[in-house]
Amino acid sequence: MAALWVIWYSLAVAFIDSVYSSDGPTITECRSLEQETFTCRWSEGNNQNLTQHSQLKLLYTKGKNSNWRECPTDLSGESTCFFNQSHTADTEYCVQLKSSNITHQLRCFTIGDIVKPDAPISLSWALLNISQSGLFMDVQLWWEEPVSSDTSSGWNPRKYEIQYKPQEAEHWQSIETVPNQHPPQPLYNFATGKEYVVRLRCTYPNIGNFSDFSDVLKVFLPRSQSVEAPLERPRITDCRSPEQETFTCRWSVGNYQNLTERKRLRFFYTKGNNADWKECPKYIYNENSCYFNQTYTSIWISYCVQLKSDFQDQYITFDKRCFSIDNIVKPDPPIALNWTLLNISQSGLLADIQVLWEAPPTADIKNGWISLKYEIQYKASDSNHWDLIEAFSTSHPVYALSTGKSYELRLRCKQIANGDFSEFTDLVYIFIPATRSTQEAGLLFRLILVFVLLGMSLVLLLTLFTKSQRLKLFFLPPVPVPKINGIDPDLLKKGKIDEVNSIFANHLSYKSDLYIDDPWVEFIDIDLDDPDEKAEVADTDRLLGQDHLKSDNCLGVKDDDSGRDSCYEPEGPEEVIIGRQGELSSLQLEGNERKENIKNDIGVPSGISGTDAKWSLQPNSEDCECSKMQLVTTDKGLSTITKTGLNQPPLHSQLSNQSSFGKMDFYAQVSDITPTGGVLLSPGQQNKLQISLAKETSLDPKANQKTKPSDNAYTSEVDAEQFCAIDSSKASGPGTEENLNLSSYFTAESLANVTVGSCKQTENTRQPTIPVPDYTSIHMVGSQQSLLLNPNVLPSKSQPPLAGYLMPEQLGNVIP
Amino acid sequence: MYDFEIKTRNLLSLLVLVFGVQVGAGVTTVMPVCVNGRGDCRTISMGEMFDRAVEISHQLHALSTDMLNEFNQRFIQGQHLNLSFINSCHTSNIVTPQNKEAALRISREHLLNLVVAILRSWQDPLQHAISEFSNTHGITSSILSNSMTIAKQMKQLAKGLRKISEQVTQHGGTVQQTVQWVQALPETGGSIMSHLYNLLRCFRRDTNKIDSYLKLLKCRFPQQSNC
Repeated sequence: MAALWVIWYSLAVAFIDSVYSSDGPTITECRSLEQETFTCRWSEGNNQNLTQHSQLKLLYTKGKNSNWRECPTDLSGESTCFFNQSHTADTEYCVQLKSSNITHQLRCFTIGDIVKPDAPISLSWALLNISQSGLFMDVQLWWEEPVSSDTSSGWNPRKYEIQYKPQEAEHWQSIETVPNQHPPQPLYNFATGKEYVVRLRCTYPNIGNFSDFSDVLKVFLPRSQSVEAPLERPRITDCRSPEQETFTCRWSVGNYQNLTERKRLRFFYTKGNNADWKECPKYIYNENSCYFNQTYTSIWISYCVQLKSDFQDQYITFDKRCFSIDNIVKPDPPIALNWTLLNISQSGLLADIQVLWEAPPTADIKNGWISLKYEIQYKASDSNHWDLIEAFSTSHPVYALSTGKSYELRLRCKQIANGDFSEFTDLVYIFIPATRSTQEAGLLFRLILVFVLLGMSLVLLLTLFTKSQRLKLFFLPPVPVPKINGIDPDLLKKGKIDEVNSIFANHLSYKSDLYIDDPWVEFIDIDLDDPDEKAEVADTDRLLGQDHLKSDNCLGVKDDDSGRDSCYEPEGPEEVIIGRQGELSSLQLEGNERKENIKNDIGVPSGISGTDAKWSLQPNSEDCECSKMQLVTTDKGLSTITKTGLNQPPLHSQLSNQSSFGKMDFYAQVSDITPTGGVLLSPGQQNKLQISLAKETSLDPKANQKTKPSDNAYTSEVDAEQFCAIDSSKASGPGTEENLNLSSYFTAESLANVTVGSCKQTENTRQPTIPVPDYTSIHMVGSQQSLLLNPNVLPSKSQPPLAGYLMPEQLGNVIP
Repeated sequence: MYDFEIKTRNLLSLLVLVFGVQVGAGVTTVMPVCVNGRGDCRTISMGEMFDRAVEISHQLHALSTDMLNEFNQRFIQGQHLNLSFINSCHTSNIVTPQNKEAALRISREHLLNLVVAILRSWQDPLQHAISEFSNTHGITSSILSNSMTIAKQMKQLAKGLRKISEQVTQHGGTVQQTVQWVQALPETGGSIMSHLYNLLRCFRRDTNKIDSYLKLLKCRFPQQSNC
């Protein structure tokens, strides 16, 4: 009873199913193959009332808000409607199927939605590689595009999805190719002796859907029965056209199976796209090759060839390749390679030859069907390097071959723009015997060369070792030694550093190592240019006023310890006191008077040379005031040079030079006059001063130490000159001019404390005084009125002045 | 030293050759060479004209080969594209002799017409390629300049061939059809490259064809001695 119920129920379900599945007409598919046209298909269904075509119509709209129109090309009887290019655009479509007034189905889409290319066809595989063990293989997959999709638009690239799996496996492995991929596509690591299945489908890169899958291809390679290793499959070794008229393909059998038997391996070819496979027109069995004569050869058409074997009841493609004939032209080698001697050089050492040959007989040069270029290669037999020459005719000269030497020559050719080089011709040997006279000439030449070289070296040796000064001078003239004007090179070599310093001290730009030790000194920069400040400064008052102290200190001093713009505050009062105690005269001079002094200095030849640049005037900066003070006096017993800064108000420039010199006169008397005009002064009866017109005079080391401060002062003065321009309009009368400048030169070396207004020198003021020497020489006369005094100098003839300060010629002047 | 000399000589001869080609290309357009500017004119022989035409066609082929190789190196290799066979070219519709036998069989006038037809069929696609090259990122200047040189030389060659065919077909005869080239739809970057690549391959194949036919033709005219 229950069984009956079951049967009844199943019958009922089947009936209902059939009723619902056979309802009205439906649009089964709208599809575009190539994004340009599309086709819609429909089924009419089982409804008997609607099977007449006249009643069933496909209507469509294109874009929005347009009317329903009828199918443009209704292929009656096939239930399809084709929309060609003129009806397609990248807009929305709606189609509906209508009979009478009933709309059976409505569907809307854009072209992109319905693009679906045809599936690839003619899937095939060929062996690409087989592992040495024979257990694994790589295959290449080939396929073709269906003809229907080859539209006039040309070339629509596709990408492919390849799926493969072992026959019994469940899941497909898939590979997606890049767009535009053409066959073949390699697939790697398939096991031999195992059956695989492969299928693929395609799509346009950015639009639409995948096609259906292609037919499934079975890939199976029986495991090799050969035990030889390494395993080699049969393969096409070479396809070549020697003359662009015929071509031959060769293959090797390999050792995969016993396939050497005639007809076991078969060769097939196709010509052009989508053509059928045909078997080789002419086998040449003893060579394992296939020959295509003119009839079967088309130059500019693609060929594909494959090597197959029927093997265990199935064809296995062992190799496959495609080419075009114009790309496989590889001519035969040229023939009849020969050479003739063109000429031998006058020396007989070199020879030129003409190389001759003939084009390969197979190449149709005569009809112009093929044009070749040649490459001549030659080398000396003992060399490894081939020299190349390109030639376009059948002869070419080769130049400059050595006689008596053996050469090898060979030749090959190729089509000018295409294909490969031919094989080389056989080697041709070239030997041009060197004539006897040539050999002799060569020997003679070498002998002469040797003699000439020997002679030259002899002359050179003679020159070097001969005592003849003139000859030596002639061949080896003395090289001038770099010299510093006014400096004895010997002193630089032998003299002590103090001496050297003292020498350079007279050159304004020089700073002794005391200063060089501290690199900061170089960077101290005194800003005196500030226009505001300058404007505020009234000449004399300023100089004398306290507020001017700072700038003056800057002028006078390089601060060793601090950074830029720092100024050293001299310990004023104490110094002043000392200065006064020294009780000679101190002059305080105003900067605006300095200019005249400078002029004087420049004008006087004995003035400081080489520092003129530093002394250049800066007439434009009127407001700058430099106050300089130095004077310097000597006391017989204890003299302090006090060049104070502004903190020494009472004494200043109002002192005339007359007065200062008057004071000096008081202390000095002329004790001797040197033959060159130098005057020796001595204070009282005991002291002698030497006055030299030359600016350098001797110094003893002790004195050098003392002069340093004065140099410093001098240097700072120079700096001050640089920083502070002096307005020429403010130049004061001639009477005042000389004082200051000279003051820097007045160094009473005999006096221990030299306080030359520089901050530095304040240190010196505290130094214990050095015993006053008996003799003081005038160190230097800067201008008419300036004197530099040196202590401890006995200008007696028995004690020549130290050389350091004197030029050699001056030395002669000073000391007769 | 001597090697250098030889190289220099080669270079010189090459220069002379290139210069000669340029000059030759220029002169081809002027048929009669008038020595004094008066009626003292001499007609350039058919052989000379063919010589020049062949030189240009040879250069065309060499240039197109270079261009294809460079394009291949820069854009195709590394994409694992195997393009072992050429997709159909637009000139495939021109039925041409596919081997020497066939080429020798047809009349030289017809062969000449075929050459002219192929040449003309390439003018548009070549311009298209040049404009694509100049728009495409990554195209080297040498490819671009090559293609421009090619376009120039193609015009020269077409002029020269027109002169030749005027002489050959003095008694009538018209140049055969040319093939309309339909420009492909604008496509995305990668496919433009493959599209251009196919174009270049077709072009190279056709320049080879032209070159071969012209060399063949040159030797089929009786004045020729150096064949």
